[in-house]
Amino acid sequence: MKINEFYILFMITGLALALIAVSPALTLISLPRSGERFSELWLLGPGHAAEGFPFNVSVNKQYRVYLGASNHLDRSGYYSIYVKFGNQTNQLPNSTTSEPSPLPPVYESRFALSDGDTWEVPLNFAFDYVLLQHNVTLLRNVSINGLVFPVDLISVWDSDINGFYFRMIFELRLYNTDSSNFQYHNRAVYLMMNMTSSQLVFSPESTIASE
Amino acid sequence: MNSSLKLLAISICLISLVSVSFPTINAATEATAIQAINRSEEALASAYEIVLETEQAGANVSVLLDRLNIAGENLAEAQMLFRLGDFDGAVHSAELSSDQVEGNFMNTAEKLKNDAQQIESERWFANLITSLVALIAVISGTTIAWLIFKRRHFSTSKKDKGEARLSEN
Repeated sequence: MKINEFYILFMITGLALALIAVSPALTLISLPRSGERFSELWLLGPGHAAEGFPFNVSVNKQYRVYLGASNHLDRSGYYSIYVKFGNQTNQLPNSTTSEPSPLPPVYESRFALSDGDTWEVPLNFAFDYVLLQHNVTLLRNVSINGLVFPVDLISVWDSDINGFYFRMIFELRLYNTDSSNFQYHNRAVYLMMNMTSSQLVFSPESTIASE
Repeated sequence: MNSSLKLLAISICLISLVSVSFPTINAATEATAIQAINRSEEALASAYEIVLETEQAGANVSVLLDRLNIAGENLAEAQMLFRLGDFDGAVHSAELSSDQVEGNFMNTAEKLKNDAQQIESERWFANLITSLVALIAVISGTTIAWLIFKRRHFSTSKKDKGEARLSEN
């Protein structure tokens, strides 16, 4: 080997060692995190799994689901979840336009999460509904986690799927410091429930809807 | 007649004095409930902004988030009770919420931020010094090694050339 080749070998070794030497200083340069920033919202059934969700619901019977959210925003987030009730014709949140459902909130939860953290709570609920006419059911009250909310929502008999259907909608909202308010985060889930039950309280002139 | 008039006047005076001296306990109105909720909303929004600032400074904000969570739960309850027409309950919950994020919340955040900034600057200094010392050591080591190597290389080649000449002779 010639002396020039040895010189190049020394230079390369020296540079590699220099890079290792400055590595503690390189850790001070924080690079922006790549990847998508998002929040999650989920609903689990009473067995804490994605099954067994209440569907055919009876009057004043307690049901349970688990509502959860997680933060992947690379910073702490301040969230709010709205629980809304609607019938089969009420508008659901629109995922294309990122618009929440226009229905008023009934129940609300607020929480703050650091990046990577999750939040989950059980929701215990019961319904008080009554058959008004042969093809109309009135959902009078909803009890959620011990609080009773008057809803007064009607559902007309759906002959296509045979039932009186109501929807329990969950919408996640994130606090925006620029606009100083909560904004719908295009994260929503809903439960569709059939309130056609043998335990319905009939008015004297009413008949069973399916007859 | 005169004495009964005097008695009546004294009674009126006493009643008015008592009513002035002891404030009446009124149930919260819708307006007071709205006021309490709005105050709490503002307090929580400010607290969240403080949390973000503290977090950006590199501090662990879990203590602040715990308090923000309790405040959030209370505020959500206040909103629901207000919708149900329970204004007393709404005011109570809103005040509980405000209490969590007012008072020493700001001081705690400030302390966390200062501690984090101090740790960060110490880390900066330590890393910089370590890198600088290591770099100087590498440059000096490589240069010395190269010089030693070069000297040995030339002396070996001179020796080789000398031996070659000798063998030729």
